[in-house]
Amino acid sequence: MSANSLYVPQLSRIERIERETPDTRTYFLSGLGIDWRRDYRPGQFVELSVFGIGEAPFCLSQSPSRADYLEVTVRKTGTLTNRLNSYEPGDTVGLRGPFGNCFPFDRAKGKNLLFVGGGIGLPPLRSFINYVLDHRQDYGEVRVFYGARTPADRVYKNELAAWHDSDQLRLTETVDQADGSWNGHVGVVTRLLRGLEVDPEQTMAFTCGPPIMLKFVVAELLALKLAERNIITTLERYMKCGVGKCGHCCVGHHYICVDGPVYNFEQIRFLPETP
Amino acid sequence: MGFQVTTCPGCACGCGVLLEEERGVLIAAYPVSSHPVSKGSLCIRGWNSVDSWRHPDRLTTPLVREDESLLAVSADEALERIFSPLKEAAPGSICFAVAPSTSNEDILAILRLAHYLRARVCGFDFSGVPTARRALTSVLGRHYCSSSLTVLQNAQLIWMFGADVDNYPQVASALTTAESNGAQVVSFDTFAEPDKKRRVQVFVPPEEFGLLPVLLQKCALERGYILPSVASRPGFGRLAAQYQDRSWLPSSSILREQRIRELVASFSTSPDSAVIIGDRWLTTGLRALEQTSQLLQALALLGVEDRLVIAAGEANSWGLADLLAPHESDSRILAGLLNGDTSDIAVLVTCGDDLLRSAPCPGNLEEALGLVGTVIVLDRFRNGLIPFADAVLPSVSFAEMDATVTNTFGMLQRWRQAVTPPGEARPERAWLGLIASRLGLKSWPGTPLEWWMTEEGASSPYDGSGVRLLYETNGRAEWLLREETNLTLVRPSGSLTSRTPEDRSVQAIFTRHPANWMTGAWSDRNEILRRESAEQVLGVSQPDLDEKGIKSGGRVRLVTQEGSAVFVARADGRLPQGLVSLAEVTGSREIPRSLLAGSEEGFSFQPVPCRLEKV
Amino acid sequence: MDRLILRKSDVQAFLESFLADYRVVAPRHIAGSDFVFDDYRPGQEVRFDFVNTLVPPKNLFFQARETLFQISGTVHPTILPKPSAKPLAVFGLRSCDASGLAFLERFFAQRGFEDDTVTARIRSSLRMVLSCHTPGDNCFCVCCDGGPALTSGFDLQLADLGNRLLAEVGSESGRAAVRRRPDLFSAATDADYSEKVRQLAAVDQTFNRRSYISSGMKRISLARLTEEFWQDCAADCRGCGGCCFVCPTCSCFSVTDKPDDEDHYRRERWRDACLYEGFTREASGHNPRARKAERLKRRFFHKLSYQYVELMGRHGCVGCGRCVTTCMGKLGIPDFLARVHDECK
Repeated sequence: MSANSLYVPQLSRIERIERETPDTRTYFLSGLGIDWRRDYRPGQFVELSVFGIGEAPFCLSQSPSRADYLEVTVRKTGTLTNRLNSYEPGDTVGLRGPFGNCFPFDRAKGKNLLFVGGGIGLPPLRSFINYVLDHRQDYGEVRVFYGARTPADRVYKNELAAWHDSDQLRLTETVDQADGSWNGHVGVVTRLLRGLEVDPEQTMAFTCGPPIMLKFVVAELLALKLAERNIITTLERYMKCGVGKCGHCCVGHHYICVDGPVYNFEQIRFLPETP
Repeated sequence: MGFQVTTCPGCACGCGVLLEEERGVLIAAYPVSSHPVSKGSLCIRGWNSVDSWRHPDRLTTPLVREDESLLAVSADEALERIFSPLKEAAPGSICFAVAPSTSNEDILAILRLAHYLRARVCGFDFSGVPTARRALTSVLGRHYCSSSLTVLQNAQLIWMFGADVDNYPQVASALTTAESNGAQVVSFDTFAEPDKKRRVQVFVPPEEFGLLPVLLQKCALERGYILPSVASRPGFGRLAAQYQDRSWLPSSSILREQRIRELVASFSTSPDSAVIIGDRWLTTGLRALEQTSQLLQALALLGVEDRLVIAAGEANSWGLADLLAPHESDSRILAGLLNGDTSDIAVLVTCGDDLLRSAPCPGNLEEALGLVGTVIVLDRFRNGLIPFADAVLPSVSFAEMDATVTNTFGMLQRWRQAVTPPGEARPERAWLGLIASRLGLKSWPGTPLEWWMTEEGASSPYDGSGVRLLYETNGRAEWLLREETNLTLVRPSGSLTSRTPEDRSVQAIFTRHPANWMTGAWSDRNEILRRESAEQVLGVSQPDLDEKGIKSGGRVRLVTQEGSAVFVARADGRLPQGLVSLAEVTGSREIPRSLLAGSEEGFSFQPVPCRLEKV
Repeated sequence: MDRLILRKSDVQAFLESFLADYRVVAPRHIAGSDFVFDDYRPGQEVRFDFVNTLVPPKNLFFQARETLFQISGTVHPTILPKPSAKPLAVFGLRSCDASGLAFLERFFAQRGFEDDTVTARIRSSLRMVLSCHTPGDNCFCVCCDGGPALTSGFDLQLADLGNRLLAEVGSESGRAAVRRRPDLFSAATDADYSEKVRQLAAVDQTFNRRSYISSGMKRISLARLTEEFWQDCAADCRGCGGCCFVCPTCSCFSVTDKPDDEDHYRRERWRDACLYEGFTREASGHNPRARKAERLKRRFFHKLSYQYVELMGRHGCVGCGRCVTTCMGKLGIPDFLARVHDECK
């Protein structure tokens, strides 16, 4: 059997683990001899193997322009992620990929960019945000809106702090429920968009988060007169093979793992079963 | 690549299944188009019947208890451990509890050893088949229902009683065929089926399951046309007279006699009608046996008793009923266990699937098991019984043995071995043979066919030459029992009447789907099985939820006279107002004893008055 | 196309010539009227009197359950490759199944990702197709561009002319196959070929089933069927998944790791069915196709929409009729299309 077999993962060592929230960790993965850096684009995902359990898809949450390691940010949800949560640096997982399409970083050049993330929706966006920051002169204004349930549930807290301090972008955060330490906005992230001053022709918006959040965010963005093709999101579906064969991620005649996961809302209108 | 034709162990339909194995590993199951019951189809259980053949919970070595834990030991060590309690137990204090997933040959072996040890034997079959069998024999003089599903497929009018046919997909499929040919289906049940719009649905509260057959008989008699073969039966005159005297007839709060009269009038005695009795009918209501007997009698009065399908039973429920019949199967043992009373059992040997999983009162049973002296478990999977076991002997799945099983139509069918059992697993009869030998019983048959030549086999209702044919030919299901109805009329007792509900806001009923596919086949894919014990869900009608201000998915406390328990409430469109339903009883001790009661005649789930409180 | 004659009595010898370097598979009688594609044993009688197997031969190439690779260890694993296997020589394939294999070969190789197990197996196989002269009760390949005879997608196509077979060579592999035992083949005459053509025309008239496939496809592609229609279908569907497992073109699967012992695992690919409730259930519990009606709608969209024809070059039904045999709810493709036809009358 050749090393290029479609379903055999490459081995990857966990070099470092960072705890983001009580149930979310970021894993820094090395390629064990394979240079993944060149080969991926922001928005793509990998199929990660926890040997003995199986595989699951995770988006690559760091920009390829600064990927010393491959980073995936994982929340404990099911069997596989629970097992992964018990792994330590030095343990080995499997990787296949990168798969999927990517954020339209070319079409976005010269535009003002709006990023709206909710909870665990920040990781895919962050790969693109950092890419933009690393190619800052190619893009216009950058505004990031991030909403989490509570201050403890925010991921990439250090990075968020750096973004607050940076003059390369403007970050506004909100939480659903504050605690004593929080003195930022309280409320859903969609509120932050209301009445925002944007030039609809010159703006592209990128949003990721729970389906219910997306619904309202898109409504606000359309109210700001953004064109549907300039509102971009990632579609989530249960995935298995990542290569358009197993059928689990099919929506209409699209395979989300191959035709997506990145879609603009003009495309989504034509797909059944989508928000 | 190897293929083996065998029979699916999922339920009492007994569909033909073709197993594929490769290098000793079971790969897949497929249907068999020439099989008389399944005709090329399988339900989700059949298709996935080999999926978890090598499940992590599969038992492959004998285990014995050492302090708090169970240790893997050799067969000899396990037998050593089992030997003394069995040898020392007083006569009558050993009990074999046999699951309906056990093959006929293994049951014969159990009977042989039990006889030698003067032990008691009881079946733990909660599928309703024991009730159905007793009613069939006492009223219709039969052992099985009608010959096949074709009576349904060809019918123009079908009545269903307490039948959750989704759990017997072949029966549901026969209904679909009939309906596509224009048949009308009338369902008498507690649960509505909102998506079956073409069916006439008659709501029968569980406490009126006994009243319904009485009304059917009354209306049939009033209609005046009774088949001469029925009218000439001894006792017919007395029965008719009883119905003319109206004083004993109970009144109904829900069933409308006029409606029943209309339905009976439209139910002709032509050969185009057929009836299904389901496991809900057989296990729910005040008195399961009497209500079933009266229902069969009603069907005889309506002239349809030969076109009856009983959609109930596990892989070998009917075989178990057949083989235990000539022997004294002590159902009081089980009733005792279910009520927590184990005073006279020193050694309990369970054969087959998890007794706890299918029992109506798992909490009570757990208490009882804790008190029994020695518990010996023969099973295929690690399950709820294991924590109580003193010794565990791994047995084999349907795909790993040669044996026979009997389906609801009285068809004896083969299980054919397709793969070698893993580790130390072997059939019950092999383990029991080793125990027997140690205990001094040397005469022990070797091959499955030899079991039919024994005393136990000879006293069974099966014809030995027919069984030989099954073992010598390939892929054929044989009819062994030719039956004719021999009607014995029974007068209904007054106790079938419905109770006047006391001051209560709702009644709780418990439905369990008993079709158990743990017979060595356990799909990790399907939700029906639900291995992880989920939070207990209580089905509640929307009006009841609204009345209490409870949202679907919210928590609710169910309060009865003897205690209360908290559940997750889910809106269930099939339930009428005033009825809540607990669909699956896991082995939780939080369920109060009062909620789960057996009856002397069998295990019926009587509706329990209770109150709902928002938590 | 080369046309040759092979006597039926010589087929056994012909098949045996492959045993050294192929895994030879042919239909074997198993019970009643059931046949199954199984390993051909030397001396085994070759049967021509079967209609088709209920177990589709796609399972030889896309197994119901197979090990993708083995793993030793978990957090410090080693991946052990699978041993390679002999290529398949399949005798007795029907045209519908051969069409199905061509479909699967294309599917598993497209979109820039080639499944090297399925496609390699199909490509390396020798497909000896036996054209049908008697359709089964449920067959409808005539409506589906799936038979009763093919113009491509085979290595050898054999027409039954009584005591002999007219063999048409359809590929280089087919030609090479003939060269293994050239003594068993003789040139076919024009009369032989005319006999095949005549037979083909005759069999076309004998099919029991026709299906309203074009009008059905249109309505499915344009989403013209109501929610109520799908609910009615769902009320009859038993959710067994059988239609997916018997269909020559269905290919959905899932992958999990299964233990061999404490330290060893297999990564297994196993057949899955889009009609199963958990097929699209996400780890969060959210299920975009929680209702059976939605899953049925999806299945028929996948099989019969123009959108998929565009992806695959043809629609997904080859007319084998197996779904009709196995469906417990009268939702096999021709029965389903009849419902659509009745609905939209």
